[in-house]
Amino acid sequence: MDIEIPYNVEERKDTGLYNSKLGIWLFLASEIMLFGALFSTYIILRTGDPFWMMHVKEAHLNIPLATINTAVLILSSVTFVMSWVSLKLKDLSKFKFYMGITLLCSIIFLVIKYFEYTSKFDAGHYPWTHNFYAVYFTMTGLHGLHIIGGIIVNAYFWLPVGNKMWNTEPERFTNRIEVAGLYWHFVDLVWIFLFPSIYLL
Amino acid sequence: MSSHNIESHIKVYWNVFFALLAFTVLTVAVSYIPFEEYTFLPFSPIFWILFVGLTIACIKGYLVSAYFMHLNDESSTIYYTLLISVIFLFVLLFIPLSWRASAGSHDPNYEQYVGQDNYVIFKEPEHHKKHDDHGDY
Repeated sequence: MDIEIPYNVEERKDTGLYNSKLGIWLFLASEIMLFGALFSTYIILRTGDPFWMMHVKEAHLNIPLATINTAVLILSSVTFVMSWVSLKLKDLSKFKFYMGITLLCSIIFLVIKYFEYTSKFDAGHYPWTHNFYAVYFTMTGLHGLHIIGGIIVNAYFWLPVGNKMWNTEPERFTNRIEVAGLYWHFVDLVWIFLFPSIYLL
Repeated sequence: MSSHNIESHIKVYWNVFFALLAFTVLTVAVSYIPFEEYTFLPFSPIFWILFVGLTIACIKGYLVSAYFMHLNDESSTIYYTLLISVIFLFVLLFIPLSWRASAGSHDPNYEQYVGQDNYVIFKEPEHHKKHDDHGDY
């Protein structure tokens, strides 16, 4: 027996949204609080430590690599929105193409992160070395976990097991991609603030 | 969305992408500006470094949220949800910051460390030692 779940496609009158869109925005609101708390921690630790900048200089943060990572993440964001647009244009193969690029970009991001982390470990810098490294590893690490989470969801939609819904309920599938996209753009948004505040300021 | 409408949207998405790339280059470039040498500017160099860096980040954040996340054309339910979240974010941000401001001024050892170039092993505050002697720390 199939149970019809309401408001997968059509908007609820009171919220003006289909349900999963409201759901993801509530989740993102909680994510703002999570990352906000970490940014707050960062400001407190940094302003309370007169020697903070000395440790930042000692860390030899790789700005070119982080800049490439920023560009890679921005590219993954635009290809994600293009994959959603492709579904609006009823073109599944284009969707797969753009989603494939998004996945590729997110994996490149993680590979670059891996090289960044290992160079820090090789130099003997660990999260417990100094508060700066604690902040650096916690914030970029949590962001990295979000990337991994996004890869799992996006790969599911990219593979036939996830996008077979396109054949039966194309509008519902398009909405799923929109919701996954909102999460992905948020992860990009967090990096936009993380990159200057940790690497540049 | 009609297909003509979508075409114009696609153009906007790619323009936003190139704008974001340009702002990324810009944000790296301004980090090399030696604000500490520009003594004619009001406020401290730190203020300008933060101000310029965060302004660019906010512009980029606006572009992503308004265009990629469609916040420029969204249901008011979402605006109210985000408004609550942003209000609490600032409240929670400023409670510890105001504590920080007062804590620094109350610590008699704080000032002497500011501006030194080498590592300093922080002396254990006197009142901690007292607690240790009594064994009820």
